[in-house]
Amino acid sequence: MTPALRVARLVVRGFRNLDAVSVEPDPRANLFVGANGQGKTSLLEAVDFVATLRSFRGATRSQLVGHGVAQAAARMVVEGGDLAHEFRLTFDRKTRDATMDGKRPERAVHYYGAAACVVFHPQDLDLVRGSPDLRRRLLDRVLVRVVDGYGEALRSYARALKARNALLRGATVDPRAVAAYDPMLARFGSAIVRARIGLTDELLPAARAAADDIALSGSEVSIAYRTKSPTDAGEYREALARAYDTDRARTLTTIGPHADDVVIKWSGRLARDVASQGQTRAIALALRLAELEVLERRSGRLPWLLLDDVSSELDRERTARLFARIAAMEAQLWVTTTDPAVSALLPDAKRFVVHAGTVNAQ
Amino acid sequence: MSDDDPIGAAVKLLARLPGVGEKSARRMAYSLLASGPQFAKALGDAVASLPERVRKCSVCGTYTGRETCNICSDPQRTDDILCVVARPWELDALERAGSFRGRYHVLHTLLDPLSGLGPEQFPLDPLLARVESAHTSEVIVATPPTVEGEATALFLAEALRPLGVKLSRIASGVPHGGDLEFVDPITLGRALEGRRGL
Ligand SMILES: Nc1ncnc2c1ncn2[C@@H]1O[C@H](COP(=O)(O)OP(=O)(O)OP(=O)(O)O)[C@@H](O)[C@H]1O
Ligand SMILES: [Mg+2]
Ligand SMILES: [Zn+2]
Repeated sequence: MTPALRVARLVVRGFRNLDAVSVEPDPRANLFVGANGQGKTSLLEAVDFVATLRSFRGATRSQLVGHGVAQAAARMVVEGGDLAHEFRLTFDRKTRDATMDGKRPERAVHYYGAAACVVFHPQDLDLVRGSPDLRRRLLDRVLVRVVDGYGEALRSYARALKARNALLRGATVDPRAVAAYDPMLARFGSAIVRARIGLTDELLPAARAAADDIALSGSEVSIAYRTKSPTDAGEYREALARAYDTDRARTLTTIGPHADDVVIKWSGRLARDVASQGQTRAIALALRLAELEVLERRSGRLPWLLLDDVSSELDRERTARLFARIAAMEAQLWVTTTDPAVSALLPDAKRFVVHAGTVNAQ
Repeated sequence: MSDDDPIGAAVKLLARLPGVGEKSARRMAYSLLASGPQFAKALGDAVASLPERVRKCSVCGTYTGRETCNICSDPQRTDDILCVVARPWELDALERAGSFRGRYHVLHTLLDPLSGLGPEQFPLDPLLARVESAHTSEVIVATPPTVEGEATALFLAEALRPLGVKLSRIASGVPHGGDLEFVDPITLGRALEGRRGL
């Protein structure tokens, strides 16, 4: 059986409304109960932020730092696999410092790979209905953790793209300067697109199986990566050159992984057009479970799972099935809810009460 | 305000130096106080006299105490090959590697439109003029392997191409995203040997 990654300890200070939170979670199941606005989502967001250095609510660092607080800080110890690793993070509105075992990681994959978790939260409905960047982000979450150099490629690509677009927006445009970014965009962009296509192909069967499991009987989910970018760096560069006049007219780079999408279909039609609210939730959840399965397969370690407000998301029967499926996997669970009755679904869970930015074991 | 809070004022200035955050600036200020007035005075004088005693070499642009630097006035070095670097300390790193016998050109900047350094602001003309007048036959672009460094190299390659010089880029050995400054001399020597055409 694959070893499971587990958070052994989490300390958070000055993040959203969380103030001096220290949690020692159970290796298996953890339930966080609290009324609205007490800090449940913030707690999961903090865990995921340490792991990915991004907010799953799309928040900026200014929005995350506690009101009236100068700096947010977190420490997280993750066990499982080979060694335990200690992640430390401090940030304020302007700067961020993340270390793993006391050092800034040399490669992105070392950091992200050792802190692999999967989140399911209410805004995940937007995976199906929202803008393409959320779906690209689903793929990137996995790839930064399993492909050495992917995180670096994403960053360099974003930087080169920003610079090229700034040049295209200028009053006078020097084509030599614009073209100076093309080889980099081609090199990083084609690598990103190749990796994303490969991953989408891998996610597809896993998402289908998960969707069947959590009751989407009779209808088939399909996902496909949609891109205008060639996967060969040479052809990509030619495509960029061909698109120059269009790019110039639109004052932005029109080709590349930043413009791509993952098309989600349900019974052959666009899911965002035809899936009901409950079906949309189930599709989003199936995608997250597929994320978990592929991460496990590619990395050889089972990620831990953060489920925010899950009772409001699915009906009782589906929730029960979901928990049955998860229980069979041995992943560490962090489940938040406003409804103390959810306890019945996780009878062995360690219980915490979340209240006014504090988290205490019961 | 500096009257009431001389430490705070010093911290503010120190924190403007690259790589120095508020925290280390504060440590520096306290360390200066602790090490006594002589050291602080010597440091202050050394820093204060820098702009008077050091200027840019009139030929290559690196910092020197004279009109032209040692390298530019060295008759043993060849004018055939010109190595373009972004920063003076990158020139120093290449010199420590010790395998290069040509001349240098220091840009003092990189193409970086996001920081307001677009092609119009880029100091291209002095380089072009120098390559033409010195009858240079080969130009090595040794800008760092970062997004800005790569873009600068390609931009320079396009600008130099009409002059018909051989163009190359320092290749392997220098890690991507790395800082030329921190590469050991051996790696850098190999990087210089392993230059590839642009
Ligand atoms: N930067 C911040 N500093 C301080 N408080 C914040 C910050 N950002 C959000 N908050 C507040 O933190 C509180 C907790 O928010 P959170 O989303 O974690 O609540 P929750 O327990 O998940 O509630 P619900 O059950 O309604 O989802 C809210 O009152 C919110 O307004
Ligand atoms: Mg919430
Ligand atoms: Zn000189």
